[in-house]
Amino acid sequence: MQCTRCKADNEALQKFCSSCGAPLGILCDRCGSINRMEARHCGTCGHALVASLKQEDMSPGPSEKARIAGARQYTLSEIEELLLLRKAMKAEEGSTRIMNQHDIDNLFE
Amino acid sequence: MQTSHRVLVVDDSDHMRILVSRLLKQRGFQEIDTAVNGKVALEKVKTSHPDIIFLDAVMPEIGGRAVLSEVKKEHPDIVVVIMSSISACEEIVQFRDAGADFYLLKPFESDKFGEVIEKVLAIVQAHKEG
Repeated sequence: MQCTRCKADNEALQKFCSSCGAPLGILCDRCGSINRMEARHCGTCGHALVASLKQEDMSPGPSEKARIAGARQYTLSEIEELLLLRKAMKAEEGSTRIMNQHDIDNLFE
Repeated sequence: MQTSHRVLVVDDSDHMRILVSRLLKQRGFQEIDTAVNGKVALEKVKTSHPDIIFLDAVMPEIGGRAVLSEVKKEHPDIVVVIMSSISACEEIVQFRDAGADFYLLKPFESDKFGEVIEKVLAIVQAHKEG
């Protein structure tokens, strides 16, 4: 398999390029497995790969470089605050999961 | 068919106490007592030791979960059915983990109540035999 980043030839079963280290397929953002470029779902966990990181995405293009350059820099305390906020939101999401009587019966079996 | 099992119905709503007591009578229960709050319920548990408790989850002062924990700590053989309109998963799981045997989501149909009663009676019978 040819690496689309550095064009080096690799063995078919390799997951990463032996020359530049780039993934040789689509990286599943749920389980981290590498899948064939044409795969639509992860062969390991079944997760949809549409939004996953493809190899060509590993090298930022001009627009991405501009976006990164203009990105806001966060301080450590701001990051901590954001993480706490995320945790609180996740906790709230959990408590609002609604069950019907059928779900409850299954829970109590 | 009449049953001699003792039942305690705990709810701060008069309407619910009357309704559940009526449904129990229709199914042959004769020894039905009621409690208007958690404090009265815990006193009645000590004095009359019911076989089954129908317990409201949300009550002033001593809530259903506190009553449940206290009852199950002292009398694990008492079958407790929680009656509540709370449908949030995490809260229901907390009741289960505190020892609740069944959870009836309010408002419930008479048929559903009957279905739970059948299961409750099977557990009570198993306790008495075992």
